[in-house]
Amino acid sequence: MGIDSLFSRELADGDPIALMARETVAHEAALPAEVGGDPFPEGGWRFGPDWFALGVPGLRFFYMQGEGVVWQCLDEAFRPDAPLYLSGSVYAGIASLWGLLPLHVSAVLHEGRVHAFGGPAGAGKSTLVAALADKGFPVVADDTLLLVLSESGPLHCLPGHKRLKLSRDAFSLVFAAREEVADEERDKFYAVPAQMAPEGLYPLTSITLLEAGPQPHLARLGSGQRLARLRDDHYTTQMFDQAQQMTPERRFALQARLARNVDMAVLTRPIDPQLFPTTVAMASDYIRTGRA
Amino acid sequence: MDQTPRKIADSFVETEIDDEVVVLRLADGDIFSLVGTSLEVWKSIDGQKSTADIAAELSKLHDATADTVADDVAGFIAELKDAGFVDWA
Repeated sequence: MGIDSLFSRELADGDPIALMARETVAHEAALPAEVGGDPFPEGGWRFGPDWFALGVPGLRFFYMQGEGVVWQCLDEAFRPDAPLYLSGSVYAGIASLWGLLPLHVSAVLHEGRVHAFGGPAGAGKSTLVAALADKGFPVVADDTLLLVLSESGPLHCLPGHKRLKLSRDAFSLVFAAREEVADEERDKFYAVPAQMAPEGLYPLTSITLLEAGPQPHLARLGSGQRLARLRDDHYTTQMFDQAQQMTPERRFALQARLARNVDMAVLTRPIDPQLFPTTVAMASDYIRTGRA
Repeated sequence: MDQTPRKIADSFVETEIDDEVVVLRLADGDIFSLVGTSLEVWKSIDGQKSTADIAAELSKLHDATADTVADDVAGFIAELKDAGFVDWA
């Protein structure tokens, strides 16, 4: 059995965009104290064969395949955080259950192809894609990009949430319309980027990993390096592993497929805001030419 | 003593990406990248050819004397054995 045939549940349903639109519909209601015979998870998540449960401070979320999401607010102080979880962990959990691989990246579109930017929280993914949107690259997704694995050939991705979550400081670097508070703890606001990509499935062409360093520098990764970097743990990968009950062999085959199909680079960027335009220029050159 | 290496099939999974072979060690999840001559040695290990046979094969391929290549081949096969990917047939 090839890796291409392992993730086929969403295809049976047809259009993965329609599937995610339908399955992520959420409503507020009381949830039971137990799920799957165990107490509702607190400060974490759990998968069943056809469900996903997430418990965070003051909030609970429960998704059942075919029935959408129910969420409950246990403490009004945390109610404003609900949209953040619905568009983040819950979205990634639902996708994982359906065999769509969530990547923790923000992404833009160029000539019908998607270029993604990854890195840990605070690496500057959203700020960079906001700047790229201002330079003519429409935003495809902020924070979570879903990959369709069921078809062979190029890996296609779903359009994700395009409203950016930018830190207060980022608004002095990029043009984006500031909206309401997204994350009070991290002092982040929702923002509308200069351009947003139209809905559609697009092939994923590159993933650029953002790292902090003294001088702006972009280096492409060789094939083995690509696979090694794709093995970096992240919560969305762990979700997918658990939802799809991945064995080390299957995980390796999936990472190899990504490494084979997607160009990768590391973009070193200084914290200095004065060098931010240089970083943006490097990223846009790489998107346009595929060269470092 | 000339020995014949053979791959321990259930100790690894391998995949080819561009001109590299990446090997996953199942015991601990570590990965190893094989390119160039190391990849040629890896591909030559079939449980039939001895270390000397492999060295002779590569020396022809690269127009070098078998003695020049023999130490490198033996050294690399020893590394593969230490990594748990091969044993002696």
